[in-house]
Amino acid sequence: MSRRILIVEDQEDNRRILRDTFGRAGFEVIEAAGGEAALRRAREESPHIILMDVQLPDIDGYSVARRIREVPSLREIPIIAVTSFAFTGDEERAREAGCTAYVAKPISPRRLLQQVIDLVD
Amino acid sequence: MRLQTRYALTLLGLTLAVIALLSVGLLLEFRRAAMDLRETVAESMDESLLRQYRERASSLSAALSKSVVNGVYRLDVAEIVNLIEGLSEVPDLTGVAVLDRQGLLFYDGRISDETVDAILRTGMPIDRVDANGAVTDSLDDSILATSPVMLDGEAIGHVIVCLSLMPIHEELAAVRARFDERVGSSFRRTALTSVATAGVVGLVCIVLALILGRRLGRPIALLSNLARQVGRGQFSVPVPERLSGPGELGELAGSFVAMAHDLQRTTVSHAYLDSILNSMLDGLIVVGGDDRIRKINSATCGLLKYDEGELIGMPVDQVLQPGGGEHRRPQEGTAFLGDGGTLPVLVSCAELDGGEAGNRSSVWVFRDITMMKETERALTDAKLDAEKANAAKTQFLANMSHELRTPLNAVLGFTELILDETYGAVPEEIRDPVERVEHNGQHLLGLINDVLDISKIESGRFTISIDDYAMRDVVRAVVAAVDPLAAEKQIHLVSEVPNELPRGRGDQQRIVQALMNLVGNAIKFTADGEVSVIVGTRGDEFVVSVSDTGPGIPLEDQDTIFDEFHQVDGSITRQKGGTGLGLTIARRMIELQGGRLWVESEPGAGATFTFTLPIRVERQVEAA
Repeated sequence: MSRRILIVEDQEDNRRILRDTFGRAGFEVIEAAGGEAALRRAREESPHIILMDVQLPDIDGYSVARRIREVPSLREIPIIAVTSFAFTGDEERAREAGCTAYVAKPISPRRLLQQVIDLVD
Repeated sequence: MRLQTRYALTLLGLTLAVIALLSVGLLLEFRRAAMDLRETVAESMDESLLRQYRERASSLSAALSKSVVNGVYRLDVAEIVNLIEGLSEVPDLTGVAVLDRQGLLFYDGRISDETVDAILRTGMPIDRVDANGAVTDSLDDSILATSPVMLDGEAIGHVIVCLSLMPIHEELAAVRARFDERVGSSFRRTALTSVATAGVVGLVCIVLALILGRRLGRPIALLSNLARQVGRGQFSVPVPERLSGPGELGELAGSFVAMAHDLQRTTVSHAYLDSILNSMLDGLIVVGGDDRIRKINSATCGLLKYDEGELIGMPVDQVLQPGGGEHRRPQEGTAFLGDGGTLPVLVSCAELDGGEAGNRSSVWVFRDITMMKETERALTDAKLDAEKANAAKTQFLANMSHELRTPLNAVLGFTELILDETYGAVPEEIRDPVERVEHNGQHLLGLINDVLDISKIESGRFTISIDDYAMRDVVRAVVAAVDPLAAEKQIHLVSEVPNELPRGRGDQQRIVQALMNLVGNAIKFTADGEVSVIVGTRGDEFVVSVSDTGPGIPLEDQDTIFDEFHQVDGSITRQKGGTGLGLTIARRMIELQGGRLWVESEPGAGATFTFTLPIRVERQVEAA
């Protein structure tokens, strides 16, 4: 059974990289370019894992993660926060928002893929 | 009262008292001795006269007893009377009695019957018999002598004679009177002499006291004159000739004149003071105890734009208001000017010593600080501008690096996907240029990260995240990361980490970053040879050193290599890659955790970078 991954990323190029990475690895890739869309897609699709860029045009990623956690059926889904700045405190903020893990940009597709596989299996 | 008079009176009084006491004592003693003498003389006279009379009486009675033997024997009264009458010329003889064996034969009436009876009845005591064989007895005013009338060794009667003692008494009385008279006159003479002596001594005393008082009083008068002169401000007075010389007064005068000279040095005249005050550029105001202006200098009028006449008597707070705070220290305040304007001033205020008691005056000095305030404002503005510009630069750098990283993220991501053959097989001739894209992209990312770090450090927004770590993991991570590079350059990479290392506490990520930088540099700058990482502890610190066998660093560059954007040779930056920020960042990473980073190197003999780091870092150390 193929795994569903929700990629929340506003930038097309980055979304493409993630889509290609996980698509080729056999994931069913669902995409959202904003926070509201991410919430909707998560409820509709119940993905196995979510990659959440924290800098989104409408709502920031941490708030989206928090709201996803309020949905009982989505409470257990691993969420990986993707941040642009490697700022101290990001990891803590990610955990507070209910994220499972945290990676800083720039991301290495190879490494991110391995991380996701580790979490899903 | 003048000193002289007081001395004279005191001396006189004392002397007179002594003389009076001595005189009275002497006179009393003299009088007592005279009385004693008189009585002694009288007594001895009395005794000798009495003895004389007694002898006369006894010889008279003895003689009479022999002459009357016949008369008594024959009871021839006429003969006896004749005999007795023959005695009428004997001086002082007041009575004669001739007695036969039975009693009175004849007697002169001057002897009382009782006396005769007593003699007859008792007889004369035997022990009173004197050399003449007569017996004498003294009565009050007379003396009696009795002799037996002897015939053939048998007493046939007695003779009694009575001599009056009145002449003795009279003579003694006369002697006493004469004595008294003599003693009296002598006493008067002595008393007179005493008084006269007292008078003379008193006079001498007065004269002496006058001389003494004059000798003592004159210098004191001179001294007080001197004091008056000094009081009038004539400080350069000479020592009066009469006072100079040794002795207490001379010394006193000397010190007095010396004091006057000292006073002259430290005392300044009003005119002198005024000229000093009026030469001041600052304003000076003397304020009385009623907070009104008493005195000002000329600068005050100019600064406050008032006439002197207007200012004197004006409450000081009408023209000067200090800004509050410690009164004694200079403080900023405001001056209110005569033309209605204000002036920023620096005011200092001090209480004046020596003011009238209960009416403390104070002196206020103030300075126009308009220029200073303007300069200050300009400086503050410039500083604020500079800070704003710097903050803008930092913000710009932060934004730029973020904006640069976003597209770079895509570049690196796609490159990796291509090289991983996500989009299909990559022919060798294409793989090489794509790898170059990736390599340069990674380098660019390193540059951007360094700039971001520096901008965060400079803006003070850099924070470390403290947690427990193992130094062994740090070294392992660094060695693993740089191992491919070392292998590529065929450099021997050695690490020595003791087995028993205490667990560290600090920002592991930043320690890795710093060590990575040092080891990376060492490999980069070493052509061949060895790079070693040695970890140890000293006290409560880790000591980590990274040594290489590279070209080393010239002494003059050993400090500057830690400055931003610096490399020993600018060309090396391009040749070896790197921003020139790495060492700056590494040093700050270590310093933020309370450690130090330095280099030791001899050109040609490699370099050793060493850092110390507290084993337990509990908080971030702010930049010095």
